[in-house]
Amino acid sequence: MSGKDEEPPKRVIVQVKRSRRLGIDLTLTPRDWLPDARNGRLVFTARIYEFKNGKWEYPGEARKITFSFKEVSKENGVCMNYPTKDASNTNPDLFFPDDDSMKEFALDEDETDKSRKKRCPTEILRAKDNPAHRHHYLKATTKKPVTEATVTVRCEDYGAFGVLQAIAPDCETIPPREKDAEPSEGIGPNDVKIPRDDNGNDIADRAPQDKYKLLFVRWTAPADEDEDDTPHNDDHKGDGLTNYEEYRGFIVGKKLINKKHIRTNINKKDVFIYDKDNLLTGFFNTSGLTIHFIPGPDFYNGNSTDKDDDSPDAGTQVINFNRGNATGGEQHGLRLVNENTGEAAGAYGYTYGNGPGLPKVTVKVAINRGECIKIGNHANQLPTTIAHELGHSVNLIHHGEEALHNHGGSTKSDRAGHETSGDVNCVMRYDNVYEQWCHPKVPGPGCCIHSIPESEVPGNTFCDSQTGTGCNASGFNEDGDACAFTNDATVGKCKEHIKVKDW
Amino acid sequence: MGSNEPPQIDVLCRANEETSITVYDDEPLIFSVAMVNDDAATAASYNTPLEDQIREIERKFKAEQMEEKEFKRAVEEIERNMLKVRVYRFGSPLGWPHYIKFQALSGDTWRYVNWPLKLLIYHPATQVVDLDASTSCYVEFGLDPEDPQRPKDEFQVKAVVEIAKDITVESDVVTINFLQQKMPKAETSKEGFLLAKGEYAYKRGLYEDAKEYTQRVLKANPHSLLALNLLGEIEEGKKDLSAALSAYEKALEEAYEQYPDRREPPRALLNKIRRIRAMMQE
Repeated sequence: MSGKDEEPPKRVIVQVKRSRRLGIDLTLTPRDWLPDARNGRLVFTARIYEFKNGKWEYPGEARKITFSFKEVSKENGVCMNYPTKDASNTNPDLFFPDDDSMKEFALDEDETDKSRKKRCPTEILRAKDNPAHRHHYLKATTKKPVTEATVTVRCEDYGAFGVLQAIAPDCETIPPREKDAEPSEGIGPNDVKIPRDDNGNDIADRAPQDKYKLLFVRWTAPADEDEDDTPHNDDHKGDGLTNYEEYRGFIVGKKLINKKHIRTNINKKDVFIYDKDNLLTGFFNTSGLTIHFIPGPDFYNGNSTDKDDDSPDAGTQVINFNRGNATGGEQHGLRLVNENTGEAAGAYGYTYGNGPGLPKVTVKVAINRGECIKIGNHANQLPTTIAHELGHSVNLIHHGEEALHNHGGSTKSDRAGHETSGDVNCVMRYDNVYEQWCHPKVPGPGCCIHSIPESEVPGNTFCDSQTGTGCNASGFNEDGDACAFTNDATVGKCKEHIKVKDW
Repeated sequence: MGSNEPPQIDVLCRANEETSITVYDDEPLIFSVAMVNDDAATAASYNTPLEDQIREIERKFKAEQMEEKEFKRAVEEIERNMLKVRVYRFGSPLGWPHYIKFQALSGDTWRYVNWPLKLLIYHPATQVVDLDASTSCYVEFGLDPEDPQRPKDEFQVKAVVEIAKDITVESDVVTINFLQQKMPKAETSKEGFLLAKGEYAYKRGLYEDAKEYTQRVLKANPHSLLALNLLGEIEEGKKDLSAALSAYEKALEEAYEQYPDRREPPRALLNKIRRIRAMMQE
């Protein structure tokens, strides 16, 4: 004590007014709901309760209820490859629509990109399947006090995600409930994830892309992971598309009128092809890669050789050009064309670009259909050539080759372990080019010569070993003596070398 | 067919490889039709790894590393996950190209045309085809230059393919403007025009005409790879093997000369040379 005179402590009277305790909750997103960009719709109901007899009882006192998005995705476009990059916008993917379903609400916080060019597409799969709209409201408040309000949320992206909440004056928040369930006990945020996403990877729990599965065990698939392993390859997992991107999906189809949206498999490596001239993919389907066709170059942001469009992003062949959330990098599609000029003249086909290599270094895969279907060629020539050239665009090289490919016009002989070597059923092997294969005699000068059949059946699959088969397993020299030598591939094992991931 | 669902076949029609063209009366016109069953290709590619799994399980079962019950259950499980690959078969002893017709828009109505179209080439060269996961059917029909029955107007044209009785699929639409006049003289000596005429004549089996056009090209441009290759085919068609071999070998030289950095040899030429040499030995 200081000894100074001190004022006596004031008496504070606290009046405890017993008021009604109010709470507000919100219904959960239906368990089976998946985002649909074509005017996808959801309704959520908020209720105001009063706390009585140790529990929340409906109805409570009427209040103006405000729904708002605590978080909402704003991905470019509506899926990974639509609409075209120039037409894609980053409007909110979930919003309150300005239509009759919301006439009881005052709408606010419009986050629409006002640029005319960036208007949302009214056609996603079919004409007018995404009705025109001007606003993307993120806040909706009932015009009158109510004890219950049902709000409509519109979806405009196949990978939309967000968090909705409901508040009202003087109301505590109650954890959300299933649609027909009793209110939860206690208090807590009433945040509702759209879609259902208990493991928080921005992928709907119901979607097959949400979890990895091995026998009966399931575990979360992180949004940004890319671990596709079919076809299996120890060193080359992934297809360049993250789990979220595979979930958000792609517009595919051979023709515009048949286009559809697909979510791809996170365990299978996907490859996207624009087949301009209806060549199809021949025996490439035996690669184990899952093939998808796109209806036009717009669906991979234009051909990489396009000169018409002067926008900086024109012509990239990037299939995930609308990427944003949880992306890993650019993944390229392939362009398959019929062509008989340039390097393709006099050839069955030619893969342009800096390959053989990944899709990103492949400019186009040219097939000389006219040459392939000439009389005298085997019926397999076309499907084999297509698979061979597409093989070059997914990291495959020949079974073996010399440093230079110029054989000076010689068609007679191929050295062991080179182009004609290995499994004769493999599309990457050369057929009907050389008359024989040879290997040096050891010891001694000269070669053992082995005949190649005059007319070979072009391969129809991708090999999984280096072992020579058919004429490459002849093991005999020109005198018919056993040579104990087979024409095994130097490279071979083509299936194991397939790689599509660009990053 | 075995199903009432419409066939998921994509039919692409082109006129001289374009969707919209103007042709002079002395220019050949080739309608090409390419048909594919792309759903089958996608489904087959999806199924391939599953088929590999089944083969692996079968191997284990045969090696007695698996019991029969377990083997059957595993195979059934995999098969459940496989996609159905639908295959469409069509054609008859008349040949499958017989079931491709063309329609032109007349007013508001599509009508079959009775133009003097000639079948030039088709692939696969069978009477009946299975449109499956790897087959692309391709056919060309031609309208001879200066044929008096050639239409003279602008038309929108599409191909209609009769897959089965009362089941048809249609192509996209091409626009052709048939001009009555001939190609301006200055254009008729150009390589593109001469090559098109030569190739058309070759496809029609008119080897002498084809050779004449091709030699006109080579006179102006002895390095024309396309013309040398075509000349080889014409000579081969005429059974003059040594002339064919000579043309192909020149074409091969040009191919290496003109594209020295090519990463793949011109295998079609190499195959032709190999084949001709074998025939000459016989």
